[in-house]
Amino acid sequence: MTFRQLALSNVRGSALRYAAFFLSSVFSVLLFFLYAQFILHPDVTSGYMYGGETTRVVLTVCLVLVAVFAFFFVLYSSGAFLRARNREFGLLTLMGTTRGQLRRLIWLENLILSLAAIVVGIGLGQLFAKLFLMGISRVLGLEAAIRFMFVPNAALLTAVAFLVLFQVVSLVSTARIGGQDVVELMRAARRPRAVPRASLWLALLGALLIAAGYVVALNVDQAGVVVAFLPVVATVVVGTYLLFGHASVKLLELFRRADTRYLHGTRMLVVSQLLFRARDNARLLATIATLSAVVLAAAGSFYIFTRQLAETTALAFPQAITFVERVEGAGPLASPDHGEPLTHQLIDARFAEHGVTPTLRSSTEIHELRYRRSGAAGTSWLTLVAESEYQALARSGGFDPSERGSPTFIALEDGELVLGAEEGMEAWPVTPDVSLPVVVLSDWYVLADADLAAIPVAGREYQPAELWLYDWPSSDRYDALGVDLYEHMVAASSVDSSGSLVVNRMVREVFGLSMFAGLFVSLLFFIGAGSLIYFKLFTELEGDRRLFGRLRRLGITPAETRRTVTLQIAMIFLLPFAVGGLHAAVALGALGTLVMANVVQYTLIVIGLFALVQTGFFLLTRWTYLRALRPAR
Amino acid sequence: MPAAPNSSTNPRVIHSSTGGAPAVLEAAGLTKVYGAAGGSTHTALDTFDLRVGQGEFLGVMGPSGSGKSTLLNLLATIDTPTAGSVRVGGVDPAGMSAKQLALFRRRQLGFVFQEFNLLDTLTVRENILLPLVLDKVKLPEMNQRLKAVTERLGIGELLERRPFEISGGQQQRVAIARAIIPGPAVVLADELTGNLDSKSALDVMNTLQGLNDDGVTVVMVTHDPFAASFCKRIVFIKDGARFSEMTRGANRQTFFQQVLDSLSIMGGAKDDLQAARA
Repeated sequence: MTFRQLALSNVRGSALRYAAFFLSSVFSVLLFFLYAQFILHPDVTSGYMYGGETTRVVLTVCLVLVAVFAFFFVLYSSGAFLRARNREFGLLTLMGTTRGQLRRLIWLENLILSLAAIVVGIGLGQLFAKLFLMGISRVLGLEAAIRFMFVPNAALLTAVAFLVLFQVVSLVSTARIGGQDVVELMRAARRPRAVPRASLWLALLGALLIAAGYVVALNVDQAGVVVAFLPVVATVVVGTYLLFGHASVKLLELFRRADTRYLHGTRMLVVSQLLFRARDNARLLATIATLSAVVLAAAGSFYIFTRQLAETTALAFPQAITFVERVEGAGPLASPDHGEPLTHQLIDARFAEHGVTPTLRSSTEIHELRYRRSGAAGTSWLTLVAESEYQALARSGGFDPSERGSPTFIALEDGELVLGAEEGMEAWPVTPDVSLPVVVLSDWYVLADADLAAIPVAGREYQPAELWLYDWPSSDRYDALGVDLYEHMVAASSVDSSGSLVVNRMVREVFGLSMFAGLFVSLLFFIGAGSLIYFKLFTELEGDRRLFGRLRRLGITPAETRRTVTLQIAMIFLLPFAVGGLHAAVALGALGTLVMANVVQYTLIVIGLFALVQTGFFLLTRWTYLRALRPAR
Repeated sequence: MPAAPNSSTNPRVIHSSTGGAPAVLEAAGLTKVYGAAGGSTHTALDTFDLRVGQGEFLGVMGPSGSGKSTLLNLLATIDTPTAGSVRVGGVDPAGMSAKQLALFRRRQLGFVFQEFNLLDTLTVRENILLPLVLDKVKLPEMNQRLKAVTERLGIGELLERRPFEISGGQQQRVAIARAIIPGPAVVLADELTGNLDSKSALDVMNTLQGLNDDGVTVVMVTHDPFAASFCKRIVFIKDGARFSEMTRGANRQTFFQQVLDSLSIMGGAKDDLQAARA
């Protein structure tokens, strides 16, 4: 057997360990590359961003965060990987391998693994980028905020960053090797873990810090939020670390003392395992809890922002599409400077072509006139609707026709129409929050039929017109008809058109990239937080395999094994998520104070989604684990 | 416990030297062949018969590779025979589901291993109680049984310690306590003195002998003649088949000498002999 064969069979023998380390490395590279590709994408660097420079700075900070996260993750995996192989190193030393040779061996191995991880990570990243783009575009209802392409700079940045990162990790991990005696190395794998110790005072302090942070966050007023923000975050983060490091151990110890509950079935195994791992896991779980909280809070804020935008739009524009059909050549607004004038016949034809029956198709007569606001100098356009027409329109749109704003007066002064006069004809404003949709261009007022008829139009800038309102069942999803109407009717004609379809499309165009960025970052961190535990558990698989091997000989049933593993993994997934979710809920509650809106529903939706992703990771981990624990025969 | 009746009653006459005691453990025509079909095969155990009566203390000796570990694994139901059958307390575990097998092992078989196999995350008390806890036995009964077992084995003071905080001999006694606490039909011990110094080995063997005197049936696989000399009867196996058998008289020292003689007659065990402490 040659040395190469020895090395190869060695790799094959501990394939699981290599796989765990390699996959976590690939995953870090993939995450970083996806992210780098996004912020270095030409469409992003040159596109419009809501918040401009600030958003870009935030995105760059996130990139650094991903890098730091990747560094610790790889360092951790590498440490676990090398620790698991202590016996092998002891054996090599025993056979006369010098410390320098051993370090060189590990360095070389790391180099090969890291190069492979970088290549595979970037390759997979490129594949995933397409998937990501498609998914996000679908969610946002945009064709594509950014194009799918290979960004060489991102690949370069990723490769360089990770080459450096892996070298540093390599140096740090090899520095640990070699200080120990051979005997120590050989025994290291079997060295039992120490009994975890925790301080009751620190546990209480942790709970107190979190409670204090919560109380401040929930009671602070709008002005105080800005001042309180950083101290509260710092307090809660420290509290979280203490909670996981000390409170969790104390709680488990408490449970362990309750014999009747503890000494019952597989509980004893689960609790004792968790207790021993609590300290090992504390830092990681606290990090995940904090990370989850940040992601949830960010995603929640983002979601709340977009939902509020959508809600405002829906409130202001209850119909999918409205447009004003003007009588040809009757005034300045009626002469389109480009495109065809929009007519209801054209729209009807589109509906017929798509085989869609409108749920709303009504029209009303409106009158556009020049007017002057009382006390003001210039004039502008005013839209007047007759009382009878308004009532019919309101009823057809499902609104209460009696609801109106507080009345004002319209009077004729020196032949000029003046709004807000001392006395005259009573006019009720039509405002979006009160009743009907508005056409963005001008003010709307309802006038008694007789009053409207009394306004002389001769020699006045006057435009009689027809307001058309359309809606259909799936209009809010921007379906084929919606796209068609928007692209061929609204965008191509010069007519005043409005409605939720039009406004939403405009909002998407303006905020599209920002929404994309928000969703992208949230998704990336969602996946990051979930998979962190997955890989962490991967590194513990070896020890558990030995444990369950022993238990099987003593007579543990497959069902009991499944229950023990499930509970153990569930706790490790659930705890940080529960704590992070609570933090995020409080943060979003504080945000509700800030924007003065009720955000409970949105918070629940975001947390629910995250729970779904975590459940997915939990099931995947459980499946992997149980498969690996299955007896060989 | 579902008592699966053995439908394939083996007509083979089971050799027995213990006379009338009811059989706790019976193996008939036990055969284990390793290796792929068509490839090179290795017969680790060849039509092996064994009968262990109630209250027996049986030793199984043989050189490395003789098939004694295979035999123990088959008796322990953690391996399945290529041919033949095993009956523990009259029940044949063949054909049991994974769950039934696990419960069977937990309740009917006690295990003591060379490497102790205690769980580091559990205290001594929890380790001993493990089979009962898994069976959800009521707490008062667990405590009562724990008290009896630990007093009998003299490990009452160690209960709150961890396995790695106590000596090897103590760990092995904890393992024995764990093996006998469910009241198994038979205790299977695999080289249980292999990791112990001679003083601890003597302690552990005395303990085991004491338990046997109390009526616990023990089957022990070993190649340590000193440990084997505590047995009432020893079966020697070589190349997967029974080589010889001997029964202990009144004196253990004499028996020890007889064991040594047998081993040298069997041959090939010279290396084992030199390695074994006497």
